Amino acid sequence: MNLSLLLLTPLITAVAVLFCRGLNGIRWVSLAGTTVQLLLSFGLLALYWKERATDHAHLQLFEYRHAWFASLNIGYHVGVDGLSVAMILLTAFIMVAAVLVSWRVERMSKEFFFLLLVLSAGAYGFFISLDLFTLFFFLEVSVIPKFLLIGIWGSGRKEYSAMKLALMLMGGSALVFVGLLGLYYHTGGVGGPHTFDMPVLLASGLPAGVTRVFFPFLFVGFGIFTALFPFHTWVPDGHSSAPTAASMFLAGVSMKLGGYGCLRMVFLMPEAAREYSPYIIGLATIAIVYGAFATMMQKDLKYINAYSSISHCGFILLGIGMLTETAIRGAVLQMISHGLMTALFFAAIGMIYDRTHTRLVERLGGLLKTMPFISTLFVIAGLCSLGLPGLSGFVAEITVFMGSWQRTGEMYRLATILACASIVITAVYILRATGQTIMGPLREPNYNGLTDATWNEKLAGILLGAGIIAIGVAPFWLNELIIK
Amino acid sequence: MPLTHVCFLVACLSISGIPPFSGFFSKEDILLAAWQTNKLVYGIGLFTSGLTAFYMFRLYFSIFWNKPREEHPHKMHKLPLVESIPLVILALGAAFAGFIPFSRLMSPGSVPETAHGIGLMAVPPVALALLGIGIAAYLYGKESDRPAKVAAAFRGFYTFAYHKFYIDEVYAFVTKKIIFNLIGRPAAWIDRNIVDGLMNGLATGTAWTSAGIKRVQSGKVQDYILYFFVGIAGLTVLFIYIYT
Repeated sequence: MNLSLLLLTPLITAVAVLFCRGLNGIRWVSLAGTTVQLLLSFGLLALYWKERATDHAHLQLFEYRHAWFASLNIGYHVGVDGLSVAMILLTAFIMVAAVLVSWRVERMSKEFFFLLLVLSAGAYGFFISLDLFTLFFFLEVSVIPKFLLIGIWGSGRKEYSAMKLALMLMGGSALVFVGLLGLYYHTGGVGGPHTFDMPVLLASGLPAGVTRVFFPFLFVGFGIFTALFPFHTWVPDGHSSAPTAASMFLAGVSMKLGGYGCLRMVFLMPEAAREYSPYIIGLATIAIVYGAFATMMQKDLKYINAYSSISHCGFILLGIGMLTETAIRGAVLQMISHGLMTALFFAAIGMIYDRTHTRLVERLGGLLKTMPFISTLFVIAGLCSLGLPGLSGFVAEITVFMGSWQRTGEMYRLATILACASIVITAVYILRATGQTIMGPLREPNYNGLTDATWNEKLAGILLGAGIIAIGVAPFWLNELIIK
Repeated sequence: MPLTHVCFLVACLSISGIPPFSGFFSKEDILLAAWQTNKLVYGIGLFTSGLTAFYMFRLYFSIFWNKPREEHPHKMHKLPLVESIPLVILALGAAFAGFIPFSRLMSPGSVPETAHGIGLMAVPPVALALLGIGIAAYLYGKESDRPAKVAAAFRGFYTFAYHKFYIDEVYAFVTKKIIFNLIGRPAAWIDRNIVDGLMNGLATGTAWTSAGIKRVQSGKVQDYILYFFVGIAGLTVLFIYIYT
């Protein structure tokens, strides 16, 4: 399969949106484009399985290499392994759902869908890149549209949040870039042809002195994208100010760019990763516990989900930091699970906000009576978040914990125990939020006339909910995909 | 409601450990094991089994033997089949499940446990259970002021037990006062003010630096000439200092 199709489809759709007339045209073209992309991703999955069954020699499949800037030895080099396929599927799922919940965006909708699609193209490009330079390029592509999406279509302190998110993520990218250059100039000997190509770097190996210096740059840089403590403060502001679809993409995919990047760096520089792993684990544990406690005190539904994302993304970093095979597999499962779950959460919160015009927990109540469908989505997302067996959150978290426990040593045990204990706090804030917003008597009489989800919202919810349940009930296919 | 009455009585007898109901057998095995390993645990178990008989029969006597306290708005009705059938199935289990030799099905290793005979060890728990039932019958068999008198006699303990030994209050204190106020609130505050303040401080610091440097690039020729001469003077001083 030609992987460039995955990059071209969203870009062509984005351009097509610009030529659309009328709101309906824009909506349907976006939906068609993202649906085609979802089908392509499933096609990729099927082809990958088929190819992998016979080809055990190559780490990456469907490779394609084209010299981009030949003088600097920068290439457009793409290829996928199981990890990338899983992330591409996740992105495709979230994009279809994001377009479906954006049906109500009527102000400057052409620009809105255009930016959303460009954002997704950046993510797809990131997941298929094997050249570190193109990887970085696509990382940047997926930052700038976020600034505009939040700044223009956001709510609350949107300008502040957009600026904060863009600056902090840019800071992360800057660290990544320094790290990349550092690796680049230490390849191929003095004056030799330097390279950004990951498989080449992996095959030739990097000197320990170089990785010791540049691994932290790369890891922290990517870590900022996945809410590494203490660089996580863009998360609550950015997520809560963003429009629903952007929140879904931000939490569901953008934060996973970071996790994916961190993981690639660990694969690239295993010795350096081992050396720094206690620090990674320390920061991840702080993020998990501290994020959970901070969530408990939030009053705005979006802030609750954003802070809980900090805690949940801590599990990703914890799994990566533990460096055992099971823990890393758990981290990947958590990326997928958290992506779907948090997208569903933000979708449900967006639907509630559209109708009640508030996201404050204390001003909501009894929504199950007027919006049973939306409330059910909210409850499913909540239960997944607190790790109920049968939903994907449980599968991911238990894998991380089991993998973490395999790493022996007092500090690692302590980190694992603290991380496990934080689940209780998760239950506290999720059940409190659910109890106060969904259950109980109707808080305000005018909530009585509110309508339940429309067809497009239902479809988006079913899509994400089905993903959560499918992974929760039958995680083995995904598990196998990641291993191979 | 005779069916409910019978089933309730069976359940009470079973849980009190009266032979040959199923509760008797399970309690018997557990108490025997306790006797063999730890006498204190056995004593506590024995006492509690009497207590169980007492509180279950207190419930039974109050519900089925006394007159209804007040007129209920809706009359009691016969049980429909969907309720009576499960009730009967469970009651049969409670009555006869003790005769299934569970101990032979369960084993610590691959060797089945040998069943213990029922011997003298069965006497104390059953006696205590009967005593509990007797006290319950005395206090609650007919409506009287006897329970109130007992409560008055043990006032302190009665209130303590009535409030579930204040365990819920302890929980509420720990969660509300300690976890919410002493951990959650500071964590949220620190995040908004200190951690985020640090990040915003970086941005503000950059803005200040830029505002400070900005003045250097004023575009005024006079300023540039001034910097030029200050620079020359500075360098001259530096060179003189170096070469002498």
